[in-house]
Amino acid sequence: MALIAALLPQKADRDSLGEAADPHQVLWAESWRDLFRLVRNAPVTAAVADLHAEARKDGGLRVLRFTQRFPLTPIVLWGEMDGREIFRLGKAGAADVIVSRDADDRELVAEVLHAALERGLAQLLDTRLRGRVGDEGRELVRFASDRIAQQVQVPDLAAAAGVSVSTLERRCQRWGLPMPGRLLLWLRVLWGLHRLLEPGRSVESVASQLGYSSGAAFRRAIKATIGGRPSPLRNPRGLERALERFLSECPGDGAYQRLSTSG
Amino acid sequence: MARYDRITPLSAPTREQAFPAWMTLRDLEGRERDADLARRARLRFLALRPVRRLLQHGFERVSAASYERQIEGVREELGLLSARDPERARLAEFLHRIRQRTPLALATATLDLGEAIEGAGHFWAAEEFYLTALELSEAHRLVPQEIIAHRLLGRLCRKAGRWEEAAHHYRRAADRALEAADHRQWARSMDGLATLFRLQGRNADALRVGEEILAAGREREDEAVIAIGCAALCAAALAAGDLERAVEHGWTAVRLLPDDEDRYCLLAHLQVAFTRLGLFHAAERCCQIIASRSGHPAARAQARADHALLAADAGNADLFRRRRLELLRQAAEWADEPQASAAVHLSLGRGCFLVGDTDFARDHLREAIAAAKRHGDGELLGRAEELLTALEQAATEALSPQPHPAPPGPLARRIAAEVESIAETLVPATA
Repeated sequence: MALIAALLPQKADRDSLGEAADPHQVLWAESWRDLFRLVRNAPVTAAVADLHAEARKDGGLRVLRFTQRFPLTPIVLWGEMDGREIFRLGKAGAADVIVSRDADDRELVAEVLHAALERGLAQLLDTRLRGRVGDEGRELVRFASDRIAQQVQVPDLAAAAGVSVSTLERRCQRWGLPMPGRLLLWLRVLWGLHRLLEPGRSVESVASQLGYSSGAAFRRAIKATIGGRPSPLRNPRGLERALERFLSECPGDGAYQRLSTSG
Repeated sequence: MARYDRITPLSAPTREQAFPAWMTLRDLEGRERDADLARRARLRFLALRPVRRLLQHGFERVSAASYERQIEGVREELGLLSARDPERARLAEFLHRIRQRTPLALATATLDLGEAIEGAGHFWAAEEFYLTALELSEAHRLVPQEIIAHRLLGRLCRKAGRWEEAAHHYRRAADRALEAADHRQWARSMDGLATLFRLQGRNADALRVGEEILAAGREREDEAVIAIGCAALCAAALAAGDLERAVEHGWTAVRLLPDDEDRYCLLAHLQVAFTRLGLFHAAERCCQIIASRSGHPAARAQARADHALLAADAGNADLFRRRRLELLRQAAEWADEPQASAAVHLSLGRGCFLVGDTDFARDHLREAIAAAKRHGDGELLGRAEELLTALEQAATEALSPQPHPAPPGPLARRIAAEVESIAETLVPATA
C-alpha cells in the first residue's frame, strides 16, 4: 500500500481518484504549496495534480519545480490540457497525464497510477533480485518494500504470508534472503537513501517518515548495514553501493539460479 | 502562463524518459505557438494512447469497455479539425481500425497513419507511430509489419539526416526480409539503403546495391524486384553522371513498376537525366505527367517547379519567369505542404539564379532553408544551404546548369521519343 499526494480541487475528480487508487491511500492537498509540503514531509510514493488547480498559476512551471525537487517521485497531471500544455508537461518531467474525459474511467486511471507507482524502489529491487531470488522470495521483498513507509514489522510480514514468524525465518533462509528483521532494516535504509537522492529532502525528514525517532537513529541504521554516514551516500553511486551490499547478503536460492541459467 | 517560459528552452526528454506517446508532440519544438499543429499533435497523441495502453498492459488486461470508451472519447474530439481536413478522415479510419483490437490490425493501422503523418512533414510524430508499430510487431511476431516498420524508420531517419540510424533500420529490415524469404520487401529495403549511400556520396556502394537487387530479381524472375533494382540503378547512375545508363534503367523500371506513384518518382529521375542530356521536350513531358496525374500534392508541386526550372536550364528566361509567377500565384496549393514547400523554393531559387534574378534566388533559397528546418528535412536543408553558400560566394558552378555531356546516344533518343509521343498512355492509371 503506497501513499499518494493529490491536488484535485473538483470533488468529482477526488472521488474518481479515490476509487481508482484503492488500496493505496491518498493525502489531499489544498494548493501547490500544500502538495510540496505533503511530499516533503510524508512518505509519498507518487503525486497527482490538476494542472489548473490554481487560477493564474502556471501549472507546467509548478510541475517543473516539483520534478526538480523530487525527481524520484512521479507526478501525474490531471485535467483539460491542450497540445502545447501536454508538450510542456513532457519537457517538465511529468510521469503521465490523465485528460479530463478519461478521468472517470476507473480502470484507466488505476493503470496510470499503477505504472507511476511501479517506478519506485520496489521495482528497482525486484529487477536486481531477478535471476538470484525466486518468485516467492521476491514477492516478500516487494510486499515489504511497498509498506516500508507504513512501518511494517516482522509479524505483519508473517501474518500476510499466513505463517508464523519462525516459519517465515526458515523460508527466508531457504530463499536466500536475510532474516526478516534484517531484511526490514535493509529496506528502510535503502528506501531512505533512495529518498535522499531528491534535493528537497533532509535526513531528519526521511528518518521521521521511516519511523525513526531522530536523524541520529537513522544514521545508526545506516552504520549497522553499510557503515559510514548517510551524507556521502546522497548520490546515485551511494545508493548503488548500498544495493550491492544488500545483494551480497542475498545469496539467493541456488536451485532457482540453476534453473534460470539453464533456461 | 509565465511571461518568460522556462520550460520551452529545456531539452526534450528521451523516448524512454517521457510518458507514453509524448513524442507525437515533439514536432511542436520551436513551434509552440502554432495552434493548428498543437491541435493535430494532441489528437495524434490521444489516438495513439489506446494502442500504447494495450502494448504496455497487455491485450487481455485492458477491458473492452474501457478501451472502447477511450477510443470514443478521441473520436468525439475529431470535430476540432475541419470537416475537409484529410487528417480528420485518417484519424477516424485509424480509430475504426484499432477497434478490432488485434495486434495485426493495430500494427497496420499504426504504420499507415505514421506514413500519412510523415507525408505531412511531422517526423517526430511519425517516428513514434513507427516505433509503436515496431514494438507491437516484435511483441506479437508480426514479421511483415516488423520489416515495414524498420524500412519506414530507415526512410524517416534518412530524411532527418540521421544516417547511421537509417542504415541500421534498412539493414535490419533487409535481414528480416531475407529470413522471411520476402524478396520484394528485401529489395525495397535495399533500395532505401542505396538511396542512403547515394546521399552520403557513396555512389559506388549505391551502384553495387542496385546491381545486387537487379541480380536477385533476374535470378528469381520477379519483375517487381527487377524494377526496384533498375530504379536504384537509375538513381545511382544519375548521381554518378552516367546519364545514358540512368535513362535506360529508369525506363525499364517505369515499365515494370506496378505502382503509379513509384513510376512518377522514377519519371522525376528521368526528367533530370533528359534535361542534362539536352532532351528538353521529353523532360517537359515527364514534368507534365507527374503534375497532372500524381495523387500527392507535394509531387505535383515539385513537378511544376521542375517544369519552370527546365525553362531556365534551357536558357529561356521569359518562359521561366512566367512559370515561376504562375507557380507563386498557386502557392496556396503547395505552400503548406511541408515536403513541397522547401523543394519548390529550392528549384525556383536555382532557376532564378540561372536567369540572373539573384535577389529572388536568395529569397527562395532562404525560404527553402526555413521550410526544411521547420519540418526537420535534413536532406533538403543540406542542398539548400549548399546552394545559398555557393550563391553568396558567387561560386556559380554549383548553380549553373550541368554542362551537357556528349550528345545523347541512340537509346536515350529513342526513349525520349517514346516519352514525348505516347505520354498520355505511357503511364496509364493501373486498373
